[in-house]
Parts: sequence; C-alpha cells; structure tokens
Amino acid sequence: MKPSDYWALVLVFALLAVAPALAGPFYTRLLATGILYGTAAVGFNVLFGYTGLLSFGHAMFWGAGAYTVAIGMVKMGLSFPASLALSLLVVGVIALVTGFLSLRHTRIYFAMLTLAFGQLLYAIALKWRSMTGADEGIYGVPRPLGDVVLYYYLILGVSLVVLLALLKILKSPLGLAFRSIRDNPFRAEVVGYPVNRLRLLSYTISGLATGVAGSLYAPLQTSVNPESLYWTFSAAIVFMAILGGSRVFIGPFIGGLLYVFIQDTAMGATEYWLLATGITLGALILLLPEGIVGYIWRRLGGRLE
Amino acid sequence: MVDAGFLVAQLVNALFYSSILFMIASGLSLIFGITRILNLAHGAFYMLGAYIMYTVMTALPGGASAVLGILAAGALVALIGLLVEAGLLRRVYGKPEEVQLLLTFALILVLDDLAKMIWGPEYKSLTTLPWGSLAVGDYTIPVYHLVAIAVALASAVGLWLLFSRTTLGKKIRASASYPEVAEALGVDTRRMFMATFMLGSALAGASGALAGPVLTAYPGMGTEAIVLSFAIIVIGGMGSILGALAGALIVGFTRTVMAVVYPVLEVALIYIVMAIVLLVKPTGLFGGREVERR
Amino acid sequence: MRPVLVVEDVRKYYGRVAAVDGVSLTIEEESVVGLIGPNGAGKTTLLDIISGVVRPDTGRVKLVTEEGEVDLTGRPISYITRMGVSRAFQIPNVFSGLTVLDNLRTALVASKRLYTRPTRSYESLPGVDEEAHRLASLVGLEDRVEVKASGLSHGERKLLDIAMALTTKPRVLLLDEPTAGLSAVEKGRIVELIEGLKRRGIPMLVVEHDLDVVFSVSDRVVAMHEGKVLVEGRPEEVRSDPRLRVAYFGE
Repeated sequence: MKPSDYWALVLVFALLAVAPALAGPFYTRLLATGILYGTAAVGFNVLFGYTGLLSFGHAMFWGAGAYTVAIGMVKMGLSFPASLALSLLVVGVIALVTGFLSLRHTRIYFAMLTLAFGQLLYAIALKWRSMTGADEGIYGVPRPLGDVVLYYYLILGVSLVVLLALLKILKSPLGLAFRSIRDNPFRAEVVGYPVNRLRLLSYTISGLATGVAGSLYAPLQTSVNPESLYWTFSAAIVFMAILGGSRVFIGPFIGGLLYVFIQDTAMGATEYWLLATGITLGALILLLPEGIVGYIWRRLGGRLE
Repeated sequence: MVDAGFLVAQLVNALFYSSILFMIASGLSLIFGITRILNLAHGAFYMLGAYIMYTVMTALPGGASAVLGILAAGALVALIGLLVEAGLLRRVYGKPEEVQLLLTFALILVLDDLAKMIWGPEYKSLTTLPWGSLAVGDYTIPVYHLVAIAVALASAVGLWLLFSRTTLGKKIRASASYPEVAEALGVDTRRMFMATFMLGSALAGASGALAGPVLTAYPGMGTEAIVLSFAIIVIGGMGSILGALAGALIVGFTRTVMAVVYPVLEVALIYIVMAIVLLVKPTGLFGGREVERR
Repeated sequence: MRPVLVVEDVRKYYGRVAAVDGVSLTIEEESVVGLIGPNGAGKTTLLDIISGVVRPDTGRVKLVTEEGEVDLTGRPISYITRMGVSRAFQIPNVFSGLTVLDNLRTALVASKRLYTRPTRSYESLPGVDEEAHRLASLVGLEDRVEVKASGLSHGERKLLDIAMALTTKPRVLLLDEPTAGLSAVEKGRIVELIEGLKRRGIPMLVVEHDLDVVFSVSDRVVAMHEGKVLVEGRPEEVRSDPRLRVAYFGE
C-alpha cells in the first residue's frame, strides 16, 4: 500500500495520543513542545514546500502568537480562548503587512526581507518594556486546564485541527494553484493566476498556522521571551522542515518532533550542544536533502511533492 | 542645550559604527554578487575577527599590536573563509537556496560554539583603546575611531579600484556573469570564486577586529551583525559597493541618532527605513540592475 | 469580418534600439494571421506586448468583445489571459513538476477562477476533469495524462503548451513558433492541430519560421523587419512580394 497523507497523519496522532501514558511528565512536556514545533514547521512548509517561497522569518509569527497570548492573559486579563482569537488577529495583520512588502521580491531576497521583518518584531519586543517585559519577557502565563497532560491533549487536538485544515487546503484547487506557482510562476501568471495575491494568501495561511502553534506555546512554558522572535528560531523552523522532509505533508511535523529530541539529547550530552546540532544539521543537509520522512516515503513508494 | 563637542563626538560615533557596518556588508554583498551564496556565517566571521583582535591586544598591549591585530584578523579569517569555501560551499554552488542557507546557518552554530570553547562564554572587552584621544570641548574623540573610519574608507576605495581598474577585478566579474566564456578565455573561475570568498571574509574579519575593542566581543555578536547587513544591502541595493556604503551610513546614523533621541526605536527604525525604501524603490537605492523578480 | 484584437501603433524601445517600432495589426474573427520576419524583427516582442509580458512605450492593444472594446495595454498578464488572449510559447512553457492532467487541471482552475473554492479536492471539481481529458485528446496526449511534463518529449510539451492555452476558450490564440525544433512527424501533428482549431473558428496569430506552414494555414500574412511591418496581405501576395526577399536576404 502506498503511503497517504491522511493515513500518515492519523497514525502519527494516534501514537501521540497514547504517548503520555508511557512517558513521564518531563517527556510529555517535551513531546508537547515537539508537536507545536512540528505544527509551526508544517505551517512554514505551506509557503516553502508547496508555494516555493523560502521564509527566514517565521519566528515572527510564532513569537507574535506567543506574545499576544501572554499579553492577553497576563496584562489584559483575557480568557485563553479570547487571547487566542486576539493572537490570530494580530498574526494575520502582521502577515498581511510583512507579506505585502516582502513579496516584492522572491527567492533569496524574499528570505532576507522576511528575516529582517522578523528582526523588527524582535527589536520591538526587546524595547517595549511596559508591554513585553523587554529582555526578561513575560512570566506567569496561566496554563489552561492546569495540568500538563490535559494541556498536552488540548495542544494535540488543536494541532490536529490545524493540520487537517492545511491538508484540506493543499488538496483543494487553491493547493493546486500554490503548487503551480512553485513549479513555474511565470506560466502560472500566463494561465491566469493572480500570482502575487495567491502568494500573499499562502504566506498568510502559513503565518497563521505557525502563529497558532506559537500561541499555544506560551501557556505550555507559562512564559515567553524575546528568543522566540529571534531569527535563529526562524532558521530552526526551516531546519525542522528540511530535517523531516519538505516534499511530504507530514515531514516537517516529524521534523519538529525530532528537532526537540535532538536538541534535548545534545544538551544533555554536552555543554557544546550548538556545535553538535550544527554538525548534525550540516551533515543532514549534504547527505539527506530530501529529509528523513521524505527518504522513507520514497522507499515506501509514496509520491514526493 | 546641544553643544558642538557633543555633536562632533556623536558624528564620529556614527561614522565609526557605519564604517564597521560597511565593511561587513560590503564583504557579504561582494560574496553574494559573485558566488550567489548568501553566507549567513559571514557574521560569525566578523565575531572571530573581534576575538582574534582581543587575543592579540591582550597578549601584546600597545598601538602596534592593534595594527597587528587587524591584519591578523583579516588574514586568519580569510584563511577560515578559504577552508569553508573549499571544504563546504563548493559542494552547494547552484543548489537550492535553502540548502545553501541552512549549511551556512549550521556553520554559525559550529563557529559560535567553537568561539565559546576557545574564549569562554563571557563578554571580552578592553579597558583602554590604543592611540589615546582628542579633546573637542568637554568631549573626547578616540583616535582609534578615526583610524577605523580611515580603514573603512580605504577598503571602499580599494574595492572600487579592484573592480574598475584591475584585470583581476574584471576576471572575477566575468567569472560570475559569463562563467563559460571566462573559462574558455583561460580564467580559472574556481580560483576567482575562492579569491572573492577570501576577500569578503577578510573584510568581515578586519571589521570585527576594528569593532571588538569598542563594542566588546561575545558569542552571538555575529548573528546580530548579519541581520543588520541584510538591512543595509536591501536599503543600498544588492551587489553595489556604493549601495553598501550608503546603506551603512543610513543604518549607522539612524542608530546613533535614535540611541540619543529615542532609544525605544533605535533598532526598529532601521527596519522601518528599509520597508520604506522597499516600497519606493524595490531594487534599493543603488541597485540599478533589475533583481530577479521570480 | 469583425475585428477581435486590434494593435494600434505600438512601440517598444530597449535603450535606443527599437524592438517594435510603430506596429499596427488587426486580427479578425475566425481568421489566422501569420507573422513572419527574420530573427530580431520584433515578432516575439510583439507577442510579449499583446500578452502583457512587456509593456509598450506607446500604442494600445484592444480586445473587441460582444460588450465592446476592452483596453489590454499595461494590464496584468493574468487579466489578459482571463479576458481570453491565450499564448503558447516558443520554448514550451509548462509545469514540469506536474502531470499532464494536473497541468490541464491547473490551467482550467485558473481560467475558471476555481481556486477560490478551498473546500473541494481539485481532483473532483465538476467539469474540470472531463474538460482536461477532452483537451488532452484534442492534442493527442490522451495516453500520456499521468506522465509528469518533465518526462514528455519536446514535441509533446509543445502540444501540452497549446492545450493549456486552449483552456480559457480563447478569443484569440497567440502561437510563438509552434513547429520550431520538431521532427517532420511532430510538425505534421501541430499543423493538423492548427488547422483543426482554425475550422473551429478560433482566431490566431501565428509566429513561424517555416514559411510553408505559414502560407498554408494563414488567411493573412504580416512580414516584419527591424521592428516595422514591411509587407501585409494575402499569403500569395506576400510570398511574391520582392520586399520580403530584401528583408530575409538583403538582396
């Protein structure tokens, strides 16, 4: 049987649903982080793998989501659902504005621009002390449902909804339009697609998905700090997508889970875990550019995007 | 009350900072313009330059050792650039951008941690700058700053001469624009790419060396510098030395002025300026040639 | 005959070189106009201007529809395509990573503006698949629908390119050197296809180097030279016009 996007998704989420019974609270929390990283990376991949635009600024959506929920719950006294709604609004506006400007270019210039706009947000978070707590960030974000395991299931549920929605979009005519633009933007324009508007749409959908993941991250950590907006986290998201494989829908999600565990293992093993991560990353990029899931997928006879 | 001494001191500050930025950004832009690789680790090269300067100057204090430090930083970082180009980047010329970017990103992680291993995690600063200072009213201007500005100016002129007046510069350009023609005419394009990478890296190293004693050296200083270089290149226009100069001055002055006037916007305003330039002239101030649109 | 596409005195300069220097041209209903001329005469630039890839310095391009005239000058490429001016390329321009079927599906989705419907699978859009298969068999690619475009031969890619241009039910079809680089057999298939389209009354502007093909399929022939229209008329008139020999051979 050839692998299918839906069945892969169901299988992975079924495993994740039973995981907390086997893992202790520490690993449950780590898994929850992995699920959110993975969801953020799938969101990123809507733009990268399916529309052909490399963003190096996706931390801006992740961080904006995390900060808005933290500000909503801690500073404005809003409920979690209200903060989440506010966060989607904020992320959506940020995506539309930065997307409009960044999409004046494509390829490497687009990557540079998204990176720079991400840094703009970082600079704001670092300086606007009254709102963001500057370099210390915001502490004491209440965790909905209190318990880590219960919140784990909330994260799992929301992530599943986000991923199913994204998969649905990618299988729809809109998804075909995105793929056509990735394949040959000039031809896409000539067959009649308003390429720039569709790119902006893809960028916004992508940003919102990453933003939801970030929004759920602040209550998991019960805090947020400027690191979540820094460009190296944008690069980490790109890494997750490539690690898992950008040519398979579920690839970046697995990449996010793996990233968390690689990082945890490297941090436990050596003080110089960045060095270890860097060497792993470099080796993977050179030796397995289609990613781990991409490799397995192809071996199983699945179609790569 | 704003007095003249204060203004002159701030002007020198802004020019000093712009000089540092120009040297990083022009190196980055040069490498990208020729090899088409956007080296994210370029900032890490700048950081290494700062550390090398620190080591040289703590080992042998004095004005002569500062000169030695700058030269050593330029030469050593050029050597590191050579290793990186020949060992890593040569494998990914012409590969997709994400492969190139992630590979150079991986290099940042490695170099940052190596720096931490060698020099430790703490900030490294020097208590006194060499060559003393000049007094302007109640303010003092370090001679060191003036030297740094002179070095940056000399590199700008040098780059301009290299590409407009010398055969080597023309060979380098041809290697990027018409590689087949250049090869057919006997230009070793691989060596031209190597030379470009070393030159760009040397600029980053020297820039770090000039910055280190003033701005302190620390792991991660490169990741900040590289993003500012992007802003400079977007503002000035990709691949243009003049653009890098203009962009560096705009960013340097914006930051210096805002640090005094309204520090909250010190960094944010740089990116706002960038957004405005982008809206008005998508190719940047001096980016004459049409950049790839698709 | 009613005009469908009117090009009025368009000019395009690159620096001080005129690529197109004051060309006017009318394509009428159900008629095929052949556009010939030596390399560098400005033929492809003229197609680029009509299809919106290049903006002319002066002059207008107008489409005449049942509702009246529509000015296409300077409008986005995608708008011009959706208005019914379709184009196939000299070097076949297809989505090489997609299958033949998906190439046709995506062209149909674009022209029917179905991409705004995010809820359905693109494989089950009403009407799209039947239409895609119909177009595939029209150009003779019915057995190749599941093949990725990158796996097609050059001639097959040209056929696919033309099929994609037909997805908009074009009011005017622009063909840029449809037989360039093809074998005699493939050339025959393309000529047959063009004649079939002509019988169905699709107006066409055909840029072509093979003069035998041009003179056989065209109702009218326009010869360009150095950015200007040199000769214009019925095929037999243009064929015997001495100025044509001057343009090609400098005699």
